[in-house]
Amino acid sequence: MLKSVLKETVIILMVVIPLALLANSLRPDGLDLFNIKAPVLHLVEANNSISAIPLDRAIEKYREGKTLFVDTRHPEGYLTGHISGALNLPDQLFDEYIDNFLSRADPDMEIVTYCDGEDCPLGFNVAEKLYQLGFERVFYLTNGWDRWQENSLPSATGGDQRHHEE
Amino acid sequence: MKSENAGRWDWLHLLLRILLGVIFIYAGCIKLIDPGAFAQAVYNYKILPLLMVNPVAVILPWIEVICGVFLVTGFLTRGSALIIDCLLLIFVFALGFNLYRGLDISCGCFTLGSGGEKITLFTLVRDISLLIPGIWILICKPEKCLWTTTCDNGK
Repeated sequence: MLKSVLKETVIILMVVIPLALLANSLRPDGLDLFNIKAPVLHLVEANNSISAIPLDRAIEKYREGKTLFVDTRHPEGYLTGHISGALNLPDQLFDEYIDNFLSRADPDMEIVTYCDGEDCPLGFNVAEKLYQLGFERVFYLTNGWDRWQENSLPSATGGDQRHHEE
Repeated sequence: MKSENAGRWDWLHLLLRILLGVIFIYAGCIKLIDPGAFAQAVYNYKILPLLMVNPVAVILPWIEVICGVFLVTGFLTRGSALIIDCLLLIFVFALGFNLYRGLDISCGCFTLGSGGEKITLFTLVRDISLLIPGIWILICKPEKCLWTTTCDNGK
């Protein structure tokens, strides 16, 4: 009996997998199967106001002093260390932190979000949410915190988050 | 009396099979409509290597739809149930793992996009509860159980 179940499973997979691949190749919005950047680019391209920023451009903006840096990691990570002057707006606690953030940031401001790790989606997620809230110039710095530290750029520990004081 | 009880179990078996099938057809169709958004959801789970994100996003919805259709129609039922149970186990693991490490991501289960349903304890419990009919359909057909050649009513 077990054999027949496994046989059924193999039959189903042998039908479904080629069918799925064929359908994907025929549809105009089919995915490029082995383009590893495709999932992220899909949303970035759909929303051309949110884009990744290279580290050297982020440093320039930081030095100009007109751009607000936003740390999107969990508060524990932020308190341990963050880009000097960055505000903490964790993706996972966005609803809880957003009121405090809005009281300190103007929608006209330029924003650069970041988290750590090449594959971390938090920076992009928060950038997207801020864009939806009316911030029109939003960038995200991929693997921002790690690269910031590697280049010994200004950083700080602890926090001045009013959220914690309230 | 025995055959009356067996009849009731047959109906329950049929009902659960159709219910599970319809749920998977619906979930699969949502993902088929927007493969890019589903690929993003798979990517956000941070479990698969990048190279596997798009192939999984392409194949998984079709598996859900076809297995769902087979469960509803009663064709290749146990093979479909085995695949769906395996998928549910993977989903439970992926949800549990990301809840444990505190990632705030969309479930990608029945809705897609940034406004989609977030992963919560509820989504985890929901997937675990779907495993119950899934396992039952796999191990016990109305007339024959997996571990035996005779059914519960001794026929």
